[in-house]
Amino acid sequence: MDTFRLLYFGPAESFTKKAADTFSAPMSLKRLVEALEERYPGIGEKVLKGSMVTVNLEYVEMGDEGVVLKKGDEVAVIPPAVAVE
Amino acid sequence: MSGPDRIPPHLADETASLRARIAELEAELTYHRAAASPPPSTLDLTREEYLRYSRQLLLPQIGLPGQTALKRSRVLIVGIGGLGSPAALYLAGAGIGTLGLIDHDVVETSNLHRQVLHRTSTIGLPKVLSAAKALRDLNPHVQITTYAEAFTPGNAEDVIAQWDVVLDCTDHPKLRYLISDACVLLGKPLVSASALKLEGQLIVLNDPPGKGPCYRCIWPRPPPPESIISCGEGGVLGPVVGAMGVMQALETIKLITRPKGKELTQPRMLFFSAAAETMWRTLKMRGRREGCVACGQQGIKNLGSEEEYALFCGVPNAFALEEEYRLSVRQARELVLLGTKPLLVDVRDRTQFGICKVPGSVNVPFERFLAVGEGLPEEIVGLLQEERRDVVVLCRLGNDSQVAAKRLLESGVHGRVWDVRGGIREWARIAPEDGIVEY
Repeated sequence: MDTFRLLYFGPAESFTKKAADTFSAPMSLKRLVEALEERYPGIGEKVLKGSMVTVNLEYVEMGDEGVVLKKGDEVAVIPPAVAVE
Repeated sequence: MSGPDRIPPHLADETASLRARIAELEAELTYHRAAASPPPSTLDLTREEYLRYSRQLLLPQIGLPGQTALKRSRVLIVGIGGLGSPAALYLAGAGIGTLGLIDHDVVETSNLHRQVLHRTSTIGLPKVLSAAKALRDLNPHVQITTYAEAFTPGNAEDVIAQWDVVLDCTDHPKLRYLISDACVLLGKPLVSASALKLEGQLIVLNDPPGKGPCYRCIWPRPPPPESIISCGEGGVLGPVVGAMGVMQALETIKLITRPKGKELTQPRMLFFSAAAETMWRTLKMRGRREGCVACGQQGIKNLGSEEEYALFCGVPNAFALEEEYRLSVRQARELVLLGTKPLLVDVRDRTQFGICKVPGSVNVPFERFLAVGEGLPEEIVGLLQEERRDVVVLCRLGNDSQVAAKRLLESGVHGRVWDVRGGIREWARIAPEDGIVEY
């Protein structure tokens, strides 16, 4: 089966308790966001909203409906590395 | 064998007040020196400086033009902590002409594992003075200007206007947006880094000024406030934040010494993750966001108020628990040890719970409350099913506990619910005999 890997960093990793997930390819970015919400309820509001997404080390707009994730892609959810007490 | 004499109680007070007075006088002296010293009359280096900078002068990318550019430059570092310390050390070492340091904090014991400019002997001193002392010792050729004050919308423009390049070495989203906005407004390049736990990020913003993206272009939406106030999110490993600070110094030196017209055409973010198989990643970023509220076509005309920045990043007070649900440590202790024996739920993560815990408390990490949407973690449900018990929620500082207590109240538990003001830290101060330590 064709797949791509999704890497979670920082708070995204804390939220999912995983460093990575594998999804079947091809899949639109829009569909991936929906799939994440189904798998991890609340992730959209609590993590994705303030994060950026990269595909093969390149920034993509989360709302960009034209983005399609292909076999072998490395996709990453990267929240800002900021926090205070 | 005779024990040491009792420490006379006035000694600590007197030492503290003398330290504060010394700090005041040093600040005054720095101010007068800065005002009195004329700008360097020649850009040529002294003999000592040729020797001092010899190993970088030898590099074709630096040479004498690069070294004089460094000597001519004025660099501001906002925040003299884990990022600012190594950044300042390398920049002072490299011979930056004038370094500006702004920070309102004093040096604390828990800073020393990562804030490598400060020393055990400078605990209690304002960070900018502790830093200035260490930097002058490293390189007396560098002029140092200190601002022992917070960076706020009130002083941001006046401060930043004095400098060529700005380094964001702060740790709060609110400040990151403010610093970026001020740099956009005044046309200054911004070398921005951050670190949290085992990860770090670095990007040069507004470079060249008026063209490169700003912080808002990269992070148009702030992180959700629940994650900002989380007590468990504060941890960071020294070398992680240190590496990012060193990289900030490197980017600053490159920016100052690069020939005109050699700016990067595509902005990049350097992303570091100590735990990942690939530790360093370079991410290709987009340029300016057309509709950016700071640097886009409309653009900002002036900075917002302190409240506006706080509001944009989510006010922790929005989560605050009403007074009637908050207990002091003394009240909580009485209830737990002598009173109705409520269930004491400690919502710190397992690592922190392993450092110290109140006897009889149970651990339900705060992230369990975040992970289950609007419901309650099942372990709590289980514990409360047995009887109509009251619940006291405890965390490290008294922020997460409010959110968790609110969640319990909203889900309609049968007993009463409180949190503990000041959390474990306050507990350690009030009742260290319970085996609780401040960390």
